[in-house]
Amino acid sequence: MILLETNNLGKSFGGLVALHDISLAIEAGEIASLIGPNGAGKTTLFNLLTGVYKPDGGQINFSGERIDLDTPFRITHRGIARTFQNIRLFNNMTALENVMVGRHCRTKLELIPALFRTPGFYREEHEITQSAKEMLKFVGLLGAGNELAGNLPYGDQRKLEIARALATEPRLLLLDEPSAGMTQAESLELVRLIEKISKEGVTILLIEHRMSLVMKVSQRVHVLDHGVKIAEGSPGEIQSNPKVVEAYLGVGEETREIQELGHA
Amino acid sequence: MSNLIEQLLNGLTLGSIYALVALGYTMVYGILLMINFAHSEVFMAGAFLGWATLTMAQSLPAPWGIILAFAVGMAGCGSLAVGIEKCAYAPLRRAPRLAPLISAIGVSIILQNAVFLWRNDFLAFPLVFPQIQIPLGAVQISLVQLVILASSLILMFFLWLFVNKTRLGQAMRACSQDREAAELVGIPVDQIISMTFFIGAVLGGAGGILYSLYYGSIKYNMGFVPGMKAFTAAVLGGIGNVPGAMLGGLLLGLAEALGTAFLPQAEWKDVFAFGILILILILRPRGILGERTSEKL
Amino acid sequence: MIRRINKTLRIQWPVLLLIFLAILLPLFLENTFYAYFIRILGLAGLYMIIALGLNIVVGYLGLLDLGFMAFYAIGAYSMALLSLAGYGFWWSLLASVLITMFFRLAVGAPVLRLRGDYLAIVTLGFGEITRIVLNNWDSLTNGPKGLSLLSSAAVQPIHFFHRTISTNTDFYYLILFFVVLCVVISARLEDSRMGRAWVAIRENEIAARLLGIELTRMKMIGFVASAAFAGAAGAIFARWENFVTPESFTFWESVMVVTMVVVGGMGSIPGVLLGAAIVVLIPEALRNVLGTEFVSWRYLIFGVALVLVAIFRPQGVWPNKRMSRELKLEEKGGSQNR
Repeated sequence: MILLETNNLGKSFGGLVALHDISLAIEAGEIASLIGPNGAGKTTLFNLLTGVYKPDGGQINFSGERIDLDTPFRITHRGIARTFQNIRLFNNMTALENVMVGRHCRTKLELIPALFRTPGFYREEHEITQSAKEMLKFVGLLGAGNELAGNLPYGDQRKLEIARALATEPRLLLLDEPSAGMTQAESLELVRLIEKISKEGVTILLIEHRMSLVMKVSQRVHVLDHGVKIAEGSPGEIQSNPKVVEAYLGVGEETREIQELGHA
Repeated sequence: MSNLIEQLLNGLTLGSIYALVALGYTMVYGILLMINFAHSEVFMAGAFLGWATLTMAQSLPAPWGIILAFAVGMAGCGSLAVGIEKCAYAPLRRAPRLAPLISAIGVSIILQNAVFLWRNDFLAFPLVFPQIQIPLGAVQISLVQLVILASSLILMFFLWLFVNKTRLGQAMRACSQDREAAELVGIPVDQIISMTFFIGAVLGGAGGILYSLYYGSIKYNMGFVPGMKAFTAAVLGGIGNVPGAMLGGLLLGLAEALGTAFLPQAEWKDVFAFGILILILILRPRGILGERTSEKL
Repeated sequence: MIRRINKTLRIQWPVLLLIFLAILLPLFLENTFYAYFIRILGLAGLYMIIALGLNIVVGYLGLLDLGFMAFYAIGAYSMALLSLAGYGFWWSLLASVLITMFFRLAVGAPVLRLRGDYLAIVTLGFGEITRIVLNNWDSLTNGPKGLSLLSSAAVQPIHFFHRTISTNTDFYYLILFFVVLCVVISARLEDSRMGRAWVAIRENEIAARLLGIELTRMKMIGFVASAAFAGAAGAIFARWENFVTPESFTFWESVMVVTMVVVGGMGSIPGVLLGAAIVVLIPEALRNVLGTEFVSWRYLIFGVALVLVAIFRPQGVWPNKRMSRELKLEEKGGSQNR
């Protein structure tokens, strides 16, 4: 069953065409990757999917319903969550509190219950705290719960962002370069985490530059270059696709990775 | 009809002063993305420095007194602004956006109160120009107004020349567009920032003296309302945009003059200007000549 | 029994001790040379209430509000006008708070989506507009001459059960009650879904938005809630002074309250209480140590404090301690080590 699909999606900024005629589909339950050289439009696509930008053409369907005109509020409620290329944690809140904020969209009590400390308030706060702890445990950060997010080591910060996104109970999780800045060891941990998330039934779409991660974890890979989709397929198919290799030529690191993986 | 034209001339006169001060706000905002709250106090400092110079140079023959006053006022304000930038803003360049704002407010309070503690009431500004009216077609314009208009336009012209025709001006524009990139191509960004503050303050200080020539008196808190209006002018024209500030100043002056025709009480005039500010920010925050900007996600 | 109160109210004993001392203090001071100090403490209390209100906007939400005292003024004028019309204190108090909140809602609605620095200027503008309107709308507010509550027979005394509230000591206790109430309200808001959303907005607005937090709505709630504090304080002040004039509500006053919050500690309840106390007590210290002519140096001191705090100690004198709740993280199943 197709969970997310875009049809002829386009976005321009002034005269610059960031995305043109993007059509792709993500199956429910799969792990898909979005790759491409820098400037290809990947993060722009994420921004369109999460309601930050409105498309200039085409549409986005999530679970059969049109979402390209929805606000981020609606989209989070529908079940799409994301992490960011530059980590966007709430630095002066503890790790636990960061994840608790993730529960915001699934809870509702506001002023009056908070002021009068009703039983309902305590129930909801307990639920929020408990599920936040569950999420921290899930990503392996429970011990760091009382640390200020800004003080956590880099790898833990990335994990925390994922935990926070998971707290929104998403059906689709968008990860924007989750392994950026990680060591190879941390990256392997991330692979395990992504697979663990997938086992819970969450569909995952990731933007990545680390080819080893992409190849290991994805069932499908979509390739963008200069705002246009140039290839789509299984990791194996993408590795041997000459258009993909050509797109990366000159970038060095990734081309080498792709070619090495192709020979592995 | 002639009354209307005279009102419009008043508006243009004040508007040109607003434009001078607005330039200071807009240039600093263009480079640092911060509202220099203390700029209104630099305006005030210009007036006081001008007063001090004129008072001490009373024995000098006619035009030399006021020329010296301008020189001292402008140079003094320029140095003051550079000093403020180094002490109160530079340490906060990487801090969250609230911090430099708070620091700026602090500086503003310090300057106002320093003057307040010296003289807490109005001080008469020396009458430099004879009170003569010059006929202009069907209407008359006072000599002071003519001086103000001429001085402002000359200063703005020199600024325009500087920004568009010199290498330093080009460097300024580069820093305004992309500070990191400017640094990468070898532009000494810190020095350019200091220079921006200096030039903005020179214009602001000149504005302060011109304002004092027009109204005849100065006070420690004289910068507050004109500062607000100048900021409104900068936003109206498009914050960060140099010709925008000039345009905004003149437009605001004209609008205020027209508004005065309907709301004679002085304080309502100020409400009018604030109201314009709020309306622009709500309806068209980028102003007339400004460009849309959005934060990179 | 103290332990019982502790557990139900979840307050720590130093706080209870402080409240206890605060209750006793006037009884010691009352008939001595230092009786005037009761009035000063009362004023400090009023500013604490205002600072707690501003703390919601500046502290939790991180939005610079430079015209907050306008709402203090609206609260004061509402109370004055209602009292002159013959309405009793308590109902007028409630009405004044609601009126203040309404104006804040009206002002906030169009401007809350503006960026931080613009919002600062706009709030400043609104503050000035309010002052100018109060100063010029003579038929309603009597302009700069102000409104006096002393001369009119229509003004009812303030009844509290069988007592009347009229002396400085009476007002001290009234204000103390409201300070404690406002602290409780602030603490409850801070430690709630709402409070966390506010701080999230301050820390990273974009992330907060993409987690499904409705920015404008959350800001609006904080905005309006803060005005309630200012309105209440203003209303109490109006009956205490029995006189309101636009000159008590200038830009300087607004800056002073910002100083209290910023210097005391943004988002920190003990911090802003301390900030309010410092700002009110500094002029007194100046007066007693250096002489009355030095009282006007206080703004200079505040300005310097703002700059120093912004550069060297942005978290304030008594920072907000979000970690102090020490949530137990170990669950059945053992703890996870990093």
